[in-house]
Amino acid sequence: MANVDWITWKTDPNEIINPDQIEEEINEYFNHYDSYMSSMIYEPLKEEMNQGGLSKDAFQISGISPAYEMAASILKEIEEIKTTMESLQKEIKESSQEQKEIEKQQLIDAIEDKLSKEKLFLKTIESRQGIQDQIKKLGEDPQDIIGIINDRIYKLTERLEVAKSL
Amino acid sequence: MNKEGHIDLEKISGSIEPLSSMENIINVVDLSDNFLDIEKSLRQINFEHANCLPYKESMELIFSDLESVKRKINLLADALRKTKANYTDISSFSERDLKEFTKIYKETPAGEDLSKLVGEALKGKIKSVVSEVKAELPTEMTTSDNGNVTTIPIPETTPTTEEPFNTVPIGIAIGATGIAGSIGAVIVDDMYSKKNKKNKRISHNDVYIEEYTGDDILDDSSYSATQRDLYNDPGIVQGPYRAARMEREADRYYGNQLQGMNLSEDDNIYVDADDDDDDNYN
Repeated sequence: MANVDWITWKTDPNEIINPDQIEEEINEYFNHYDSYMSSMIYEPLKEEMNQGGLSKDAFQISGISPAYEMAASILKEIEEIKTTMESLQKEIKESSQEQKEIEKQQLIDAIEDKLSKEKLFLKTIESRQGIQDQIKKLGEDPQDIIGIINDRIYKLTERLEVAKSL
Repeated sequence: MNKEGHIDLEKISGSIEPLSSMENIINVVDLSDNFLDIEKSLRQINFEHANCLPYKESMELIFSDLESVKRKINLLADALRKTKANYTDISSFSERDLKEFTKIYKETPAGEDLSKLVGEALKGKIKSVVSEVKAELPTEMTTSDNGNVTTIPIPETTPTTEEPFNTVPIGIAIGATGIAGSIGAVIVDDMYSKKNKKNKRISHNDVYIEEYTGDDILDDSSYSATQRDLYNDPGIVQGPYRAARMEREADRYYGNQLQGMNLSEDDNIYVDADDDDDDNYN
């Protein structure tokens, strides 16, 4: 959700990127894989290498234990997958944090921009009698308009505070 | 081949079931699905260009390793089953079996070590064949002259070249027939031949083999009078003809190149000065 602006972003701060949520989701996938691989492949293989038919003393030709070495290379690759996985988890966390800062700043900039425009509009109405007269001619009370603008400014200020606290 | 080692068939048998179970899991359950889901989530995040997450390389690495793990588990389970089915003890391993195991375990350092064992086994075989061939050759010749027995040693020439084992053709049987040409050994022609055998020259690329008849020897000036006398002596014990002389130089043809050479009785070169049949030398 890049390029967040004050229109698309409501009052729910979770509508911009949520790194914690992303981290949790990714971890779930990783853990599912890891628990499966570890319990079904890695640990049993290790057990066989230590005491079973893959051990060095179970099968050896002139000092070479091919089955043991093959099993060792499998374990090594599983460990490498895990290392790559953990590195990726860390990168995802960092990148999503950065992305959040980007989106947060975009949101703050958008709200502040809108806020400044509303304040200018209010100032214009209050200071220029001619505009108030125009509003009266349209059948509207200038004080009502001023009240509506003040209300929007108030809400935008609240949203700005929320955005800054993200 | 010295087959030192150990096979514990009981332990190996005990490992077959767990390995088969791992095989089934790795083949049925696609563990890469988890990583495909992660990729999908990351694509949806739509990272800003500035902090683009380079996850594709990591994913490729993971997928590649997963495939390798799957392949090796299948190989390992298969290897254990074969070991159990075919071998009762280490001494029943042949070089062929070693080669098969080398293929199975080629992706490990053990594969290279097994390959070396195979090589050493073949090398040992070549040496033993050469030794056997050389052992058949007479090392001396006995003559008798009116009751006086004379023993003349037959000079032995050591091999001029030794082929590395991996270039020696498996047809090592060639060595066993007595020619031993494929390993570059030179077997000395003791200048005796079967009578009435025609001159025969065979050249094969740069290899030159010739056979000589007895009559040619009598006329050959490269032999000393003593040697020719010995040949003519009815008391001479003549061994089987073995005229296998190998020349590796392509231009050592008969005739012109060798004419005029000052050959001594020790030279193992036979010259037919009258030969003009050059067409044979191909």
